[in-house]
Amino acid sequence: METNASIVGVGCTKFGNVLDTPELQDKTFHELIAEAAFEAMDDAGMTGKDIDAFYVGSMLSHTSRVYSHHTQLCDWLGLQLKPGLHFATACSTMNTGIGLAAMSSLSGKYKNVLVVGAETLMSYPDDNPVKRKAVDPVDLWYWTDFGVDQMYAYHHCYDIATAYGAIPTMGYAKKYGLSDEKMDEVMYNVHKAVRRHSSLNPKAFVTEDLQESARLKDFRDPLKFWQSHNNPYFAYPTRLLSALNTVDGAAAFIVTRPEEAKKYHEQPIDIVGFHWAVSNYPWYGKDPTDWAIDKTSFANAYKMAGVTGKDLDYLYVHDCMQIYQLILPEIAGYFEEGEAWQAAMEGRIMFDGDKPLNTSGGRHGKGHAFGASPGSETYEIVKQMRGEADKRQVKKEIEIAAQHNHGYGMHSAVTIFKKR
Amino acid sequence: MVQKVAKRFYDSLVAGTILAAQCNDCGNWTFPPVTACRECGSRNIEMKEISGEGTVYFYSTSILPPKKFAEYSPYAYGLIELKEGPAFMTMVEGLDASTPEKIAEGNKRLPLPVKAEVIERAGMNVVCFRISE
Repeated sequence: METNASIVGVGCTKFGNVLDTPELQDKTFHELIAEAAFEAMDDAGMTGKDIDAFYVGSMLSHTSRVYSHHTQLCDWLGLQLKPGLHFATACSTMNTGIGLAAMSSLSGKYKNVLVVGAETLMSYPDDNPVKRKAVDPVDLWYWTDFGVDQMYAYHHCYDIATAYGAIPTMGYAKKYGLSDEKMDEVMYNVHKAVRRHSSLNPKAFVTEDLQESARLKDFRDPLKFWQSHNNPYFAYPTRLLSALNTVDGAAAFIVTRPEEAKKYHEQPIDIVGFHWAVSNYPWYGKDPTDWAIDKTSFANAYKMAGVTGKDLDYLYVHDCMQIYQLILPEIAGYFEEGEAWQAAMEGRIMFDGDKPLNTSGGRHGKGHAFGASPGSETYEIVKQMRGEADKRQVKKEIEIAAQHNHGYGMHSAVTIFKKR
Repeated sequence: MVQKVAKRFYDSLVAGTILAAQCNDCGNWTFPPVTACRECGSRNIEMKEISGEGTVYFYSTSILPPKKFAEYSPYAYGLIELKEGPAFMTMVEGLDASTPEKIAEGNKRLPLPVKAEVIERAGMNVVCFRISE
């Protein structure tokens, strides 16, 4: 296992809505970026002078109202005249940024690389940088869907919730002979973990746990609440609570050369493997749980790191639809085939279980800030590996961890981390 | 020079002809057609009419369809595998997507054979499938 580069600083804003989340209210896209980047620089004990290059990841210009992010942000970050660029692979953007930064650092050309990402999805500046207008969700998805096959698939009656949520869920249930009722109970248990994790994460969008949501609607049993009209089918059998919440937020991390990492942080987290794979829509065939792109990215990232799925102490997978918390850990080899649903039922995927998964709350609980969310997941992984995750700290020592993300359309990014 | 693929595909639908690209090197089909073989990457491909036969494996419908298709909601959006091999997702006629209960029942009947047809949706000719039993 060879260390290619190391993460020595991380930062992340609260995830929420800049229109009404107190910690974010009235902050601009630029200020979210600066907040995350400065936290990462402080964490690494760096100033702008120490940064050799910076890469800004963001997907949706329709709501940020920004192109040429690097030029518009360089002075806000104290990085005038530094090499900068904008990059995107949709919802896997900042995971891709880890590999990009590692390769830059490894080449010797840019030693210390800041990767920062932000997304403002809930509102946009309405021809006035400090006056924002709320986004209609129908418009948000119209713009977002520019990320899926626009030549054919979109115009053939495209339906994202069915393709991303319903059909993989039905496919998983069919594969393991689970009845519709049993599968719904499994998804309830996955969601219980999501909400327990996000309720313990002050930076998450949803800070109320499932028990509390049920109580507020006069349900004593959260399962009855789950099955009620308060949680309708988004696309049968996928319920609304199994889907993402779009939010505003930013995240950042700093990558450096492994031999110099200790200069910046006493506990560097080494990047030992990464890989990306892409496929046009649809990314699966008649078995909607058999995802070649993810098999490819995991296999190659593992090969680079010299590990297998069995070596992982911790895994974070893309979960814009929570069914992915079952499908992807099995593809990753973190679970055996057919083991993930049982593990979810037994609470093993919680932070205090033996197979911790997505402990910051995922794309529902922490919130889905498209290109920035992978950065917030890297933030969680680094904090967990350092032992700084506070109330949701994983109980066992994490030596090796993996992060997986999907980027719309479909891009699969996997990064493998190792603690020294 | 790259041949026009998308315009030819959509123009052919007017006459009811549904085109895919078959690879002259590996023999695999790419549907809908693009400028290279999706299997091996070869540019040595030929536009040919497909049989239109396939199988639908799963379907559902969303409470938040794109605004372009909102007027048809709820509609059955299904996963189809063509006889020629490729998977495709589009509207499927003959499956009930009116309620979650109907979707649950409908999926228990699958897989079922389907036949492709050209249909007008949101001002465009597109390919949909119909249960062929």
